[in-house]
Amino acid sequence: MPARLVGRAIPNTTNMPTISKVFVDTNVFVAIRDIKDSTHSRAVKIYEEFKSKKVKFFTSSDVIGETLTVLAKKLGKPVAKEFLDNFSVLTREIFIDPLLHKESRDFFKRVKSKNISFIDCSSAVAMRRNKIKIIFSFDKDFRKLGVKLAADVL
Amino acid sequence: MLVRKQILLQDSHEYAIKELAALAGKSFSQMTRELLDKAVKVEGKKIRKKAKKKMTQFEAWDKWIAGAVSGPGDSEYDKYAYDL
Repeated sequence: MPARLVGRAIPNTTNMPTISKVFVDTNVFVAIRDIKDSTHSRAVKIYEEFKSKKVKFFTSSDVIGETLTVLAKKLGKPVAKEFLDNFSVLTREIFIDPLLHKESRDFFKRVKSKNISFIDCSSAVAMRRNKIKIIFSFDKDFRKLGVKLAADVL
Repeated sequence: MLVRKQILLQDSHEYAIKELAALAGKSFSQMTRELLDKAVKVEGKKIRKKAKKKMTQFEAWDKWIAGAVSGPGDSEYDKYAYDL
């Protein structure tokens, strides 16, 4: 059973007639920039589909922070700096304010799986707060949080 | 390095620059260069900011993808990811 967020649960619909908003996860920002990443081609393909649907991409300040760290370690500081300069055009940032942060902590406590990171929890909370039902991510654990992976709806 | 370029000025610009050059005791060319220096700095910032804003989300993504490099791959990614 997916863990439930406080308040109204994210609907578990099987058909998505229109996709207008998509939340982007760290592994996509990184995979799309690393040709050797096993999910690189899939990420580019999924991006092209979203592009054709003219979706709006969102992400959180937590994901941006995590992405900067991974990019710097994996691909070098210049790439991380480039991301820092351009993330505001790539996506709309959902800032994790004290309220969202507290909600994320409460949610993290309730999630039983050890594989769900705190950032995953804050992403799920930010998505719910902004009525975003789809996440562009290759982390299958998000299904446990009641959100839909991009690959499931395209 | 100074380069010779022919540009068209409004006559009002010519009079204004001539007046400023006379007041500052500088040549017309020197005065024009100094004014351009300031204009490039101030206006350049605004224009670059505007140009950046104008880039669409998908143009930014296409640029991000175009900059893809051959990285260390998944095993290294996992190592780094678990270090977070």
